[in-house]
Amino acid sequence: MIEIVRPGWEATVQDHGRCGLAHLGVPRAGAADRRSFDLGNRLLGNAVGAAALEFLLGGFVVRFTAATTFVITGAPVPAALDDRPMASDTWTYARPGQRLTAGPPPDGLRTYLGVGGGIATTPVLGSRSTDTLSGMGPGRLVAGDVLPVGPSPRAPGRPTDVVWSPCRPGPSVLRFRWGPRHDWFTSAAREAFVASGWTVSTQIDRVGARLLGPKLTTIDERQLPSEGQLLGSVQVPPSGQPIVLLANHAPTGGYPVIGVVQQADVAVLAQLPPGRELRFSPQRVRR
Amino acid sequence: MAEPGAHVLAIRDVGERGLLVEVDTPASVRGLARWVHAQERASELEEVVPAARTVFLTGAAPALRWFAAAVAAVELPESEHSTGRAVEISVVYDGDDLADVATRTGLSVAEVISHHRDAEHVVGFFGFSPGQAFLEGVPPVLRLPRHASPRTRVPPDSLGIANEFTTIYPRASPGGWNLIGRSVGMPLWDSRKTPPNVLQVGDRVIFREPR
Repeated sequence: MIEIVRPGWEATVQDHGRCGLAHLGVPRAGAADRRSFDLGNRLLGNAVGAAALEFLLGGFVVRFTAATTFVITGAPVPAALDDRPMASDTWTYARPGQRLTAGPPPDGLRTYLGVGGGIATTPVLGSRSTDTLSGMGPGRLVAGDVLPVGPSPRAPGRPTDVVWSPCRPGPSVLRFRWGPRHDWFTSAAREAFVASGWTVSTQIDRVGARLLGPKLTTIDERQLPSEGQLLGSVQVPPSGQPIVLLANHAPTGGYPVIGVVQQADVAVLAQLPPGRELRFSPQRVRR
Repeated sequence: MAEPGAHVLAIRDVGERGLLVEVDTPASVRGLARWVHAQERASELEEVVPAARTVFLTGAAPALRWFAAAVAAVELPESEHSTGRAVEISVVYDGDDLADVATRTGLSVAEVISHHRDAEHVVGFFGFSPGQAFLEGVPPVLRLPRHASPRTRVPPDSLGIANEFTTIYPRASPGGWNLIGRSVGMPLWDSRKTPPNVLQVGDRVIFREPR
């Protein structure tokens, strides 16, 4: 078992989310930085998609009540097991009673604590994820929560040379494809979308990231009936400031989508803190 | 963009993993969604999401390419538009906006109730909140826009109308719809059950007032 001593800003249980239920209005949820989450399970030898803890900006303390293998991935945090400093992206053991403490990351937002066997809380609609938009699954973790851990995988600690660093200095480039509603926007808006730099605002959560930059205007004031949305969709509300949909986005939405960020690059955006700069790079479509 | 078929207005790519099919009417939305599910390659799709005028498919590129070509050529038989099921929902018409709806439509409260109760309602799609169904069938005399500024909290089981749609709020949430009553019968959503939903797209819904 793992006991939450301090959850920090926001700590949740996450896996790959609820699949196949978007037509009933159920958000997918799941890990915001899917690549870092998947890396943790690979390093531990866990089943693909075994549940882990996602926490925001450090300030996070847990106590292991039993011997546990674990790994930290995602935004790099200064971490210590009792008093011993811990590296990220490499698994290790905790003895019963040991505490893991994670401080704030110098860059990035979200860090994952994966454990051998995965977090074994009861799934809701096929997933253990906390859905921060609509409240499916368990709530955000609070001090005193005790989480069961699944049976350890037989061969933990698979070596891997695909450790990926979610946080890099300098402006990030997000690859995207135009549409499905790029034709709702003025040509000036489409040009500005790719020509200007964008700044991550303070309005970011697991649902989406609002960006600051030139105002993107539509040709007229038509309203779009709600339609299905993909992870990475760049929605533009009447304010003209785009919102990129992240892991916990609603399955449908009524703002026109100017473009969709490549699925692999959504994990990059999910780690960008407020104030960071990014650009959008259009990709050609192969058919 | 593929050449669209009779009820299909446009087929649009959505990133690497999505295909958005626009159709002419809500009935075509239901018909297309049911047609998609009837195809063998539907098992390769992750999501099939009907909405007001679109059906959105997600999955890997080969399956989407196949569906883009197939949808462009599809003829949707009218019989596919409904499930043929009828579900009764017990409602009490006592919503906070009932008198206001009567004023704005020029009807009496009793007329608002009978026009709504006696209309034919069909589940069109789900959205906004898990299990929140949107039913087509509000008769033209009752069609009103949403409130300009939504309520911060609509109680669970509230029955709301806006334009041609009726919705039932499965849980407390913000909402801008005109509240005319509440569902008092069986819960329409239970996350512990498989499937969690009582209503399906294409079901006919009959509103009954308990005596």
